[in-house]
Amino acid sequence: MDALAAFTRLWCLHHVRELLQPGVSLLQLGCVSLVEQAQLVLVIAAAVCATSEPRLFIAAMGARVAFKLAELPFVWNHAVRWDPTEDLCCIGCELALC
Amino acid sequence: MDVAMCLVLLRHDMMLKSSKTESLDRAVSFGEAASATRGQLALLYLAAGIWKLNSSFLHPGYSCASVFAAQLADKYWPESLLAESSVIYLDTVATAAVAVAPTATVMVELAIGILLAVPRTRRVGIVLALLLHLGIVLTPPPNGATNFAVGCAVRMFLFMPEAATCKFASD
Repeated sequence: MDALAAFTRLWCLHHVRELLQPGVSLLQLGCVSLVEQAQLVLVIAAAVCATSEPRLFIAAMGARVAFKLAELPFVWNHAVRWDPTEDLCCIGCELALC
Repeated sequence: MDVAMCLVLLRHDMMLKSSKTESLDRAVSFGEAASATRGQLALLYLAAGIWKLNSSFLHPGYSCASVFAAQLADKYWPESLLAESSVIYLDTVATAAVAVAPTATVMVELAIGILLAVPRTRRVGIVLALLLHLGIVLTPPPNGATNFAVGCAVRMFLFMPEAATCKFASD
């Protein structure tokens, strides 16, 4: 296993945990969607095939970024509000990770 | 960050397709993608520190850093130290932590950004970043930004020297 495969698996592990964890997401809004289940399958497939098929990692990463960007307005609405400056800091960091 | 990594990996993939090479040069591909993300991550910590330089964040009465510090002290302060005689001491420590937390957070984030940007100090930056994220992860709900902290911690892998990451991967 090389560095790309190792990073792929670390990244996938984090996203599997994130997808399975109930939090501020479409999941919590009652939209247990096929989209999220599809992402979970894609992320797991990317982890399993990390050493042989990096394109699956690219696809999983692309799917997660697209989903997170679509989810941002929901996160914004359900965020614990300190004040707008700090909310922007949180949202900015989430955006930067995308 | 992920978009940049995707684009670099995709560009390599397409270049290799057009040159009709069968295998993707994974090491070169990952090296470039990691390099792009490293710069972005250092900038992220710096920007996060700079963004927090405002009256709201630096005021212990409003700052989320103070709330985090208070929650951590409340949750993890050893009960054995809560004897009657030490209550005043704990109160002093907690008050000091709450007061210092906003400034300390800004200093730590700025330091991480600078340390990660300079290759010679990266290891110290990684340790400091992991400690910061450990603190965030340990903060009880609803305030712990666990997803964000773990996401950043995962990316610390990209700052490890290539030899170290390969060794880690082959073990």
